[in-house]
Amino acid sequence: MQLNITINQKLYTLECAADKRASEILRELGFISVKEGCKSGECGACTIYLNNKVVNACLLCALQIDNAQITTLEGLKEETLELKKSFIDEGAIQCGFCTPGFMMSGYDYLQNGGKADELQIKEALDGNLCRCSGYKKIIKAIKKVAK
Amino acid sequence: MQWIQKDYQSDQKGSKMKCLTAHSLKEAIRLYKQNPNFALLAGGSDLNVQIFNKSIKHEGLIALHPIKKLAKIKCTQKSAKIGALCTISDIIDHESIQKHFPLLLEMQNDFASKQIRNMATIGGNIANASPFSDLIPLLLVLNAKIKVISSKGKRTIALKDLYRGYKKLDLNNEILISIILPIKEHQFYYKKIAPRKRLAIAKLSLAVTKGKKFRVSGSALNSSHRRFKHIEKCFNAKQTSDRALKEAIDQDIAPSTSYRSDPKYKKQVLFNMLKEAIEKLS
Repeated sequence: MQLNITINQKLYTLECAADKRASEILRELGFISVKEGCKSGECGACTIYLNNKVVNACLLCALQIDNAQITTLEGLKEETLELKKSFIDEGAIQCGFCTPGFMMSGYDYLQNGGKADELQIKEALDGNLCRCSGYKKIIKAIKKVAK
Repeated sequence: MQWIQKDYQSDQKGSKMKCLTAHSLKEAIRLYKQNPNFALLAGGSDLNVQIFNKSIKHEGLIALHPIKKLAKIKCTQKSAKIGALCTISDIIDHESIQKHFPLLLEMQNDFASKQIRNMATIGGNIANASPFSDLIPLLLVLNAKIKVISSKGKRTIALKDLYRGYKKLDLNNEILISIILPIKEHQFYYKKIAPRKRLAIAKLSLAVTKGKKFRVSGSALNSSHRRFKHIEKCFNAKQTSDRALKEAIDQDIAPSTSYRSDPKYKKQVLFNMLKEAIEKLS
């Protein structure tokens, strides 16, 4: 099928199979902040904005992102600068694989007026898994940015 | 600015499935009539995983997501009409739903993760008919009706009459278009037991509402969703002795043995939860 997608405010037109996984398409186009972890919607490493809502790119097929607006972490470089700095300062990274997903969920939480409340931050991160840092530093990093 | 890559590697790892998109309900009905063996794709949070894994084979797909008409919630004084393509987030963020159906707000905690709540649809959840669905028992105890449509016309059926066995629906090439929830005053009890608090598949769950009468249902307890008639009878007749409840449980549920938890465990936990429910609601 011919696929038209707006990724980070730029229009892309390409040919691909209609049932191709969206996270694969994004990665092949160079948006490698979209990580493929579990490929079944459990780990959240592929979190993207689809029409202004955070979703798992691994659960979408090409058919569903035709004519859609997608934002990946690459498109939020400036907006997430403070959060990124906080992640670095708090050492909220070990292997780094889950980090883009956590940054997206954290950014979404902050965008929606999220407070510096640990429980609420934990709830906002319910779709993201980290297998090495143990979450505490990630939560602390997001809390530091929250007002 | 436009970026075009003519020689983009269209790797056909994906099967050569025929994929169609319906832009209106009319088109969906026509396409589904012409291709009755195709699967209907709503949010895709479960169906897509099965397609990518190749664990199910469909001749093709009909994507419904552009049909904006089916993504609306309308509330009157008597009932709420939820379009089949409303996502779980749409539902729990809706003011009237929050006011009249606080039971549905339990999905905020218990339905998958934020990302999945933003894409999974109520219609997809009902039609996917997973025995582990967290949502279906809630709709059953809220006495939901569903509207379906085909080239032959519309009809409304009670949700409790939809399921006819494991992933078997009592539909004849029809498309689920909306869910109707009557607004009636009620109290409720809900609990989900799972290995962790979020993003977990239920070991079992129990939902009970008490209006004029009790309605009881739960997930992961049978191969298909149903109301628990015998337990309801016990509750309504106030026969809630341990023995009566245990007998009713044996008649109402037949959990399959799975790696998730065994039937004996489920029955005991269900018994404890029923005790808790009756205490809360009496």
